Amino acid sequence: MISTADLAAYTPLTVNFARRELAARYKRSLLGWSWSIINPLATVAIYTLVFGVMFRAAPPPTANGRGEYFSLYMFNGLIVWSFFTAVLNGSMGWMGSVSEMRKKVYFPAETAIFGGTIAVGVQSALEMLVLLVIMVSLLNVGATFLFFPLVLIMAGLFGLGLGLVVAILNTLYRDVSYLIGIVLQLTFFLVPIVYTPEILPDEAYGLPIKTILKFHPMEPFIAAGHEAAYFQQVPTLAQVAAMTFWTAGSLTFGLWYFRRRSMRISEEL
Amino acid sequence: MTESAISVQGLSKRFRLQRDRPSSIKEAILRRNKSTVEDFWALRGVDLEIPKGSFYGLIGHNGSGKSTLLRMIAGIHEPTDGQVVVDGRISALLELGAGFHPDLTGRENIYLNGAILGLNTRQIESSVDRIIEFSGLETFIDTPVKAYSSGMHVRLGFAISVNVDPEILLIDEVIAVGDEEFQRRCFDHLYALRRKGVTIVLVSHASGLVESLCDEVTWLERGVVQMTGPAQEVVRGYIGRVNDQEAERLAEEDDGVASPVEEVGEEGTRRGSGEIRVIHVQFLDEQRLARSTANTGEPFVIRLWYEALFPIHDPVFSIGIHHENGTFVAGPNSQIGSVDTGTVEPGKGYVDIVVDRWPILPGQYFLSAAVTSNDMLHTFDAWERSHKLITQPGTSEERFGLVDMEPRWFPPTPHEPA
Repeated sequence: MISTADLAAYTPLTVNFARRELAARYKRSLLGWSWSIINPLATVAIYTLVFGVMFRAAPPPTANGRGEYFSLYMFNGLIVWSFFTAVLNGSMGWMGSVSEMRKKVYFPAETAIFGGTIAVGVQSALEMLVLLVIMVSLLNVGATFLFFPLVLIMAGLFGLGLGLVVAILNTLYRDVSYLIGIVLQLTFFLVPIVYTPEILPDEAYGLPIKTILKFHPMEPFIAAGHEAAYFQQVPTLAQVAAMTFWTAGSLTFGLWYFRRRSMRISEEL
Repeated sequence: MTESAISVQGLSKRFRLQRDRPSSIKEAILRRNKSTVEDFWALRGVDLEIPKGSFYGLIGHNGSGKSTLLRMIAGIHEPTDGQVVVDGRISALLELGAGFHPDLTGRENIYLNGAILGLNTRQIESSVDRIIEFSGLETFIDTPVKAYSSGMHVRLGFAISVNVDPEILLIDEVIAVGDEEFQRRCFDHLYALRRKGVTIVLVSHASGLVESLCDEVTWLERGVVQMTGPAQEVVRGYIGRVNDQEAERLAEEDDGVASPVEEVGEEGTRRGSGEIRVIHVQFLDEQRLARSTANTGEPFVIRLWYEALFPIHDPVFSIGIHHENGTFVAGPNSQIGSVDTGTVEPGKGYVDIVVDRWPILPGQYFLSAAVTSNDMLHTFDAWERSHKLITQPGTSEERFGLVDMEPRWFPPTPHEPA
């Protein structure tokens, strides 16, 4: 069993895994790292086309009240959401990529998942930069944007905690990864990313939908992300409390569970 | 009492061998009790104290648990019971290419391995050049390791693990793969490390290697310690057991191979370390049908059945033929015969010695058979005049002496002075 102090000694290994993940990302592509910028830009462009021209959804006004950019509102939430899901989904793959090696040599397998999380974090940071540039160009930016990276990091860590658990489960049962895919798809539409919370009915089929969806674990992260960037507001105390609760809870459980079970992966065939 | 680098206390390891383990949740639910779990105890109550700075050997047969023990010292598996206390930074060379990522280059893998060993980037950087030089892979160091041969894997792996300033070095057989020059460099380096006070644990079934390198040895059998003590003593005990078991097994399956030759227990002697053995000698004709005697002037095949317990690199097979009066008639071997025996893998097999026209004249002879190391200094197994080989008259008309020289006679040519 390893202690946290031992884990700290493996920082170079974590960095190594992160580098490998990043290096592999745009290998054999002509534009290389430009894709990290092109992709989010394309996302914004597509959403603008679909929801600004074709669907004509009514977005909430931005803080400066000048325009209503639904695509931007979506992109804002999407950055937070994709950091969370990329870590959660990726953890299973990162674990798989080192499990063969872990059977032959000892190292804490967490490092592979930590490294992957860092790599995804770099991607998210670039997306955040794209968002920042757009916001600046629209003159819809303020000091509250500084909260955005914090929200982003917490969302990633929330995903990491869950990721540590599903990575272990996936080594036992391969269908975990498919299951996670479906669950994430469903939960994606249960948080206000492609819609605004206002369009939700208070009640449907006798259920207080709006209130129930407030308890969606990702809701405070998405909402706080919107506050910090789109609405230029300081995230509410309730949002901060909820984010802290989910992040700390998932990390504590995830690390504990992973350490308890990860020694056995060297014996899995 | 000296300080221990590694202390193994009451260590047991159980592996669950699960047949048809459910690999999906559906399977797990549907066949809840149908998968059979079998327990396999790889180690049972092993106690060991490996003193700091010692060169320690672990020997035993395949499946004796010696490799599992080494892997548990390395921290790969979790003990089922008992504990392993390690004092010092471990560098391990447990398997071919362990810790290498196939898609990364040799250089990248050096960094990856250094990081796995818990080194920081500066520490790794300071030893990279030394590692590359030691491995002798300068030209290939920026090539992905998936293109490496097994020998190159070992060179790089060994170069890394000994050049990262380990306090404890664990080695499992693998060094046997490199070429001789590299192996010698490895051993020199191991000695140098040991002088620096590094604790070295070597797992091997090459008992000679263990005996010559190690101070102390533990012999494991079916996960239980059989003997611990000075290298020579333990290795002797181990080899004694190997020989006894072999003799027992041979007695049991005596009718396994149809050998027309009787072993002459009284006259023949047998010696050797037993890693590879000649288990039977068979006489055959050109169609490879069994026969009991050789016929002078006719095709004759001597088939040496061997059984290797471990992979043997370039063994030399040889036979000897003595006349019953003691004259040594012939002693061919595969090396003189320019046969590359390669690496003989564990298991049974045979070597055929084909003689197109048997040159030996009728009479009673004794056959010897042996397998030795490449340099012929080490005898794995040697039967001395143990098999009776009767030669009967065949197509040859020769009658005197021991061999048919197949001479060509020319008619008398009168000498006419010029």
